[in-house]
Amino acid sequence: MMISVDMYAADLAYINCLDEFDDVMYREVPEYAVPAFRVQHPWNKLSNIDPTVLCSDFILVAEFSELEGPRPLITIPNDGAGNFNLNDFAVRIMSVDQNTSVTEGFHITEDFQVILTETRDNVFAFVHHFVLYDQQARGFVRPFAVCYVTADQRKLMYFYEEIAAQMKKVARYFKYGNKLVFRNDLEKYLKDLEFTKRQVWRDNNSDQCPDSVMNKIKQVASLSAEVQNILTIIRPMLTDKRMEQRFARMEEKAKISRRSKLDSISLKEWDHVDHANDTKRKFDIHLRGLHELCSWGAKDGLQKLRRIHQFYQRDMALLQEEKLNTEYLEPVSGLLTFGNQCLAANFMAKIDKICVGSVCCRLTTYKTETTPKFFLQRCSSNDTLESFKSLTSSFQSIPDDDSYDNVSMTSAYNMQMNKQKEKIVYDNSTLFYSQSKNSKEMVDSSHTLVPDNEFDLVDEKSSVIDIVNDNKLRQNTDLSENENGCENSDLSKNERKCEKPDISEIDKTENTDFSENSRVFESETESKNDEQSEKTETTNLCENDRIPEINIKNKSNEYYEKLEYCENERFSETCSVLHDKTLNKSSLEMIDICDMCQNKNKTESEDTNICDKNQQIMIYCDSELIHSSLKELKLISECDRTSDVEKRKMLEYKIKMCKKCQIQFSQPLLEEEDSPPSNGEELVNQHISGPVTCEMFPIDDQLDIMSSGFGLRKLLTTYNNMQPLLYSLLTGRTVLIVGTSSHEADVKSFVKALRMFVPTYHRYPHSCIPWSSSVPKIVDLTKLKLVGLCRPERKTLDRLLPNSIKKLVTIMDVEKRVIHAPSYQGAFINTLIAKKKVFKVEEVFLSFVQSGYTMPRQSESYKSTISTFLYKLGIHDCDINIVEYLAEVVKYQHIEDHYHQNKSSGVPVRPIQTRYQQCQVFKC
Amino acid sequence: MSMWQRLWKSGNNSSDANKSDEEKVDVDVLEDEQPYNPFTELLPLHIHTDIVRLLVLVDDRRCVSVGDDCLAVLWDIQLCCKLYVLSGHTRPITCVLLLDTKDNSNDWLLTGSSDKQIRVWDLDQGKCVQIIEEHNTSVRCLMSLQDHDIFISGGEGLHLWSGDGKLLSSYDRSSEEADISLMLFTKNERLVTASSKELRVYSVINETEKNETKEFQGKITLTKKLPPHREAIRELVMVSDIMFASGSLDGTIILWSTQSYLPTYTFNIMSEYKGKDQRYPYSIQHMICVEERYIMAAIGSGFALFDILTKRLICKKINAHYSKVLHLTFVCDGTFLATCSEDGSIRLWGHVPTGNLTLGERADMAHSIIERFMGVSTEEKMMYPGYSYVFEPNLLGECLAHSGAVENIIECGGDTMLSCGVDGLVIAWKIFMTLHALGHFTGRV
Amino acid sequence: MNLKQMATSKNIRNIVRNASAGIIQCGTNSLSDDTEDVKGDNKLSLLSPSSGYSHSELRHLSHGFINSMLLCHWDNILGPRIIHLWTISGRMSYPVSTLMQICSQSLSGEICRDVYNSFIDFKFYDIPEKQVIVPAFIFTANKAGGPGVHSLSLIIPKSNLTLYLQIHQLLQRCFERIVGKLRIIMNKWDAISEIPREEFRIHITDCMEMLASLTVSALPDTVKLLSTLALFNTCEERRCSRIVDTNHHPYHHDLYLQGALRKSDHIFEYPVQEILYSKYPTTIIDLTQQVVKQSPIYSDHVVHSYDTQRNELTCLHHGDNNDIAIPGGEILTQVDITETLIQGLLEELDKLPAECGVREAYILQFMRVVQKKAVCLIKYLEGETNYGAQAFKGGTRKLRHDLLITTDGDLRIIMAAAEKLKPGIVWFIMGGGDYSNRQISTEY
Repeated sequence: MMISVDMYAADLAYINCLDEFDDVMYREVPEYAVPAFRVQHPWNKLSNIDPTVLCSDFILVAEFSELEGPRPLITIPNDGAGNFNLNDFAVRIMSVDQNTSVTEGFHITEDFQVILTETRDNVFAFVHHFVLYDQQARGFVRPFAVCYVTADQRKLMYFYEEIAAQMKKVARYFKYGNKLVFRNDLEKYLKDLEFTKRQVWRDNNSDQCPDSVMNKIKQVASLSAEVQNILTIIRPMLTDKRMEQRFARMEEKAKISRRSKLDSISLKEWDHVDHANDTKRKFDIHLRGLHELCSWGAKDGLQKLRRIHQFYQRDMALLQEEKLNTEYLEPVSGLLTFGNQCLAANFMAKIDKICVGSVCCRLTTYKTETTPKFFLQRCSSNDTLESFKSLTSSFQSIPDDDSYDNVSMTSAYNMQMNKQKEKIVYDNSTLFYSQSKNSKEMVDSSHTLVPDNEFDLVDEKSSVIDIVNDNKLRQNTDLSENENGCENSDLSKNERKCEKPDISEIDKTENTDFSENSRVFESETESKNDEQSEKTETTNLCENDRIPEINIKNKSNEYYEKLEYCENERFSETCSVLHDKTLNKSSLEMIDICDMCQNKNKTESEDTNICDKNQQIMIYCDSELIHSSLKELKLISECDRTSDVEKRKMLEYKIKMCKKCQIQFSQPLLEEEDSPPSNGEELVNQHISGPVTCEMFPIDDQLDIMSSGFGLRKLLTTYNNMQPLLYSLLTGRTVLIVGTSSHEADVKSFVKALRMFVPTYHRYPHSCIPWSSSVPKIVDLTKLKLVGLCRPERKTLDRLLPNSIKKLVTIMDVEKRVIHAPSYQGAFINTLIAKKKVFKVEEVFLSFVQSGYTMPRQSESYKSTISTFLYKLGIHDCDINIVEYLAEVVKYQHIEDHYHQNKSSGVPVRPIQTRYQQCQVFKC
Repeated sequence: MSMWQRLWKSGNNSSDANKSDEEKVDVDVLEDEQPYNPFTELLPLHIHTDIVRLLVLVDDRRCVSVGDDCLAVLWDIQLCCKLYVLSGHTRPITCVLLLDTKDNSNDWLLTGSSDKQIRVWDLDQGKCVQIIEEHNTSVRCLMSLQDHDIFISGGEGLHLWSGDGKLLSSYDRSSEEADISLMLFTKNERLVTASSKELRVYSVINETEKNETKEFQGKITLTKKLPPHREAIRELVMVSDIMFASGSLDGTIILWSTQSYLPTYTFNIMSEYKGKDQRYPYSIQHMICVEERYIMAAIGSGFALFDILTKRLICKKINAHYSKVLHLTFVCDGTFLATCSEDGSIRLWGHVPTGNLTLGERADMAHSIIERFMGVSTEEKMMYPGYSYVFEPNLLGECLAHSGAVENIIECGGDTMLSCGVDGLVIAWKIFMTLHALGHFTGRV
Repeated sequence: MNLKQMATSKNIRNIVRNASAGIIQCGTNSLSDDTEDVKGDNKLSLLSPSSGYSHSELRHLSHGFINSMLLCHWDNILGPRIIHLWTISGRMSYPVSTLMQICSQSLSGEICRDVYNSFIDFKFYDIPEKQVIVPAFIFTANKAGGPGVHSLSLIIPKSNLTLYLQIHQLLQRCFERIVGKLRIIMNKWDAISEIPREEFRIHITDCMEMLASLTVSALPDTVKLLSTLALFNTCEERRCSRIVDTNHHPYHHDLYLQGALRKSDHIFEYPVQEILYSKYPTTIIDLTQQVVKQSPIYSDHVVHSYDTQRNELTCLHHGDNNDIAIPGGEILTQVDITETLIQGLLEELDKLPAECGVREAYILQFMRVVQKKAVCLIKYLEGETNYGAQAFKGGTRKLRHDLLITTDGDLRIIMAAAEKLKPGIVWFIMGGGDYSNRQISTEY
């Protein structure tokens, strides 16, 4: 009965229940018709039973080789498939009939996407079939497939549209690169044929040549006619300037880094390798590999696949949660977040009306329909693939999805992530190419791609880090990341250089129709980046990130639209951060990779350029931390949750607050109402929220490598009495963590760990500064909430801080292990900290913190009037302060956004609460 | 040592004994916790790039700050945001004047500057609507004669202008040494100016009746020179219709009759007024008049309250700050006296609530600002001639945020106090009724 | 590549060649009138003797979004073959070439399939040039004396993609049930050409009617009376819910929320079998009697559900449809479990103004919090059990203690949310992580 048990031990779970039934009766039903009893294992962890069970998602590139039949080519990550039987699977997917009807002559084959399931083995795959052209292949055609393989069946359907769109993009990369190569091959081939023809004529030198020669000539002629014909089909498709620019840029980049790498080879040189010369087909030789077939397209496509993998390989539960969270990002002004990654609540989500007194009026502000799209456009256009409009003809089957209307936010985040990662591409390209010169090495090279992965990780991390468009910071990060590897090391000079072209570009776009704007703007940005990368040669990294900064500088109306972009970008970044919340397994992977890096550093240090090393080292540093607290990385991000429950209370409170604001605003509000219903453009305009104006004191260019919250558990277990510190953060009291330069690393890590308690961080990335040498001024305190302050050796703390500041801030002296802060008497934070020992793993602790389990239930109700709720709440008054502050945060977001929308010249200042509490000194 | 000096010093033994050692003065210090300080929220308003000298309330909601950066900024105080930046002057603005024009519903603001210009601004649009250049010399003070739709500018020169900015009359001051620094307009249509030690009285309006319609003939004529102070006059303040007061660097406060333009009383005459190193420890920096009866004066680094009726000193705080008190004002309906000083702090003074009564309840019971401030009934105690009690207020709060001297403080809209200082900041101090603060303030914690 | 694989790939090539040959033939001779075959007639198509198929029409299904349904099988000699085509009256029909294409796509790649595999696999693809999406179910069924690979493909206009994705899980549940029945039927009659379509039609119509009803009576986005409860569901779940459907069966399994009317003179009979068949336990709120009853908790329900499914098929096999064994005892019981989450929520809601959607928004926030807690629970278990590699020790007590969950009721709420995020987690906790070969208790 249990036929398959031996082969598929994973299915031991399914059970045959013969015993319970009359045998005779039951036997009549064939067992294939009786469903198996199976309960899904939440983590598909049946590996102790069957080693080939699919443990984690991976991406497989496979081809149907005319020599070998179906075969797997590349997996992402390299060992992603584990013990999974790739060969069998390749057979399975490549045997899908592509429905290529044999028609006469050359034609373009359309792509085909299908979801396959292998329910018995818990294998689910999204397969994208496409065809590449190879002058050496039979019928010029080589079928390939890219597939996303997962053990979680929900993923593929849940994200069907996103994955489908992403896969189409990947295929476009491959195919466009391939067509370029194919065209070049054919053109060379054509020349060869003509040369042959001429030779034959010359050799035979007379009009009367033998039939054999005539046949030969005829043969050559028909061949060249055929090639001509194909070229006429292919050429019109190669009109995508941007794609070519993109490849050219990569080419350029490769050339540059070649200076430091002797073994690298650029595509141009590659052309001279001239494999097109052997016109005779040799079946005994290998076929060309994917990289040879697609040149830069393969590089790009694989890069993109890595990103896809990185995004979707995460736990479905988290993906789902994220997707749900995205619904709460709107309206932005109602958002309450902690640190950079934790979306705590959005009080205004799903409320489109606001009560002014007893009258409900609709706030145009809260029109949410337009925004997501807008976000998406922005995000998707960040991804530099939007260049395929010209190719539509060849993509009838794949609707041009530049507009991206139907793609959910998540993919946008993905792209956001991608955007950042793209920077890395260029750095590795040369390395990559040198390895993939030879198609024989193809499969191997996929293994030697490690550096790429490393970068991904670094990058992913940095994306986690810079979370909220901390553009400046990121820029710095980028620059310095690159610094070593590049000739040019003058940061500030670089920055300045880059800015100029930006501004001019913005000017250009000024008059463009708004509906087109996002796209146009993007393209401008790109071309700008082109200039830039040529100009500075060092940093293709800055890319789009700079724009917001400039916009801040040019706040005038003409740039208004652009401003929006920045804003949106910012928010989407925030979102992307939300998505990066849990790196899941990647942290574990990272450990592996870090180990690899270490080895690599030793063995290959000469090969890898300095830049690589630098990054590896950075990874390594991180990895130590990861080791120390295991999956910390993931967890961290969520810590923010602290007061989840409060947040809910705050909804109520908030609403009251809104009323309050509304009353204040009632005048402008009414005006708004009077205005005619806004058209789309206005709507979009209305959606801008406050520019990140950060009149900051100068920020150290110290980078900010790690995710916020990283190491919180460590901090809480190594230091005591952290309650007052957390309390200060949660009540908006600025916290200074002071140490001399010898404590820089400590201080920075504290700031990062504590950052998650800063509710304004997503809006004002500058509200946290890991390491600063100048004392904040009173004006800074409105937005600056957490600072690592460098104390010069000779100056005492008392002398360093002016009286006026000292009274308004909480100070943690790292050297003396002393905290100077108002004391905390409440329940929230104590419960939070009390639990720190229960959880072995930081991850769990953080998610615990995040989930707000700690909040006492009875404390959740807010009363309608301020004076009564004190008594009814039953929470300590310190906790009230926390809640109040959080409510204030949201209130001010509303106020600010309101003012930005009205384009008023001034935006209300955020208050600093003094509270005049008794400060105490705590040993910590 | 004069009687006033003794009075001033009495009860303050330390400084009396070591007058030479001024560093050792006892200044009250506050703990972190300030249960009575209602200003728990502060909002730094940062536009100015140089010393902000002056704050002028436009209405309940709006306020103008002017600074040495040649800018005037109009703020919305309720929301604490900038409304307009009024830029155009090329030298620091020295004085401002709010003008209610009869034919225009908009609010007009006049700014005078040492760049010799007077600019007229429309506050509702944030635009400069007129530039008056005929003043020709540095402008030090501006004053409006609302009833007549006329304003006066003083400085090196003295000019009379019609409401729409036409020069009506000028007084030739070329013989005078010092610029006019202060002006005052008394009910009987006389203009009083102070320049250095001197006080002058001018008649400004000649009312001629023609055909039963009143016509104003703007013309400035000097009518009287008053006896001078010993040192430069620092403050000129209207007390009542019949009285005004002048205070000077030497500490003397003279009450003048607006009828006779003769001194009616002199407070605070100090014999050794110059102090050590010519620091003028008793100099009058600022005076306010309350209820047409009391004069609160910032004297040196302290302050004192004089009762004009009983001619007595009824309240004093000698070393209220570490250095000179630059400005003072009553806030919260007199519950507090706010003083700001060169030492960078703003301090709140009053009496500690006694018994079960909270500050708020106490305030409700009192009839006047002074009663609220001192916590006593003026009728009961102070009217009694032999009563010699001098109230010494308690330090109830300290608002510390400026990083340099605080030049000016005003109250705005009932729940806000504004301060400005050499650090270029305007800071709004708000009574933010968080539960916590509310509890303290109301004593219901 | 080893020899075995080489061999397989060769097979594939052969087969693919065959397959495409078949298609070409079909394509060149495509007859548009073929779709007009008389309903239920087993008329062969004109293309070739072997490529004929029968056709029937399902009627009285307004509002559906499925255009056609195609039963195909893989013939080891001839490749993909259409067995039967169901068209829906009033819906668009497709030319033979398209049907052949779908048939071929649905079965392609399935030749490697182990025919004794009892799982019903799912496949999904779109054919952009035909503007259709095709969900297909791949299964083993009896055909001409032996088991063979079959597919049941639905043809849905691409414009319904979003709708489809929303109700995908429900549709999959329904069709797995139907396919299960179909397998039995095909086994019983033993020959594809003689499928008792009528019998099958009853099953399929039932399901199609339900799906169709979703398009008209699915809960609207804006929430009203019955829909208040739907506030606690996600968008997708609301899509798979319906208001009172008077025309059809009052209860359908696997709908998240559905209304039913009781006839005044009639005792409402709980559709126990359907309730047990559902993926999740059911709660019945009887407004007339003001009683709330629940089916057993999820960890028990899983077992019941499977038993029901198997019994149903066995009964069908034996032709005694009315005698399906049902677990004894009260399936629906009144449950009284203390919890604090909902109570707190209700109290808080009470304090909020009932206007401006404030309360609704608050419920959404509440749902997010529950979800967050569920995520925390998942992560906690991941940490404690190393991603399920070890069984969780300590049981619900420890769980509650460590996560500060005050009552069992709260834990249940959170676990339910966790189950939706991470299917199997309840079994993992309650079943003690026991995934070995386990006998199901079938005590009725």
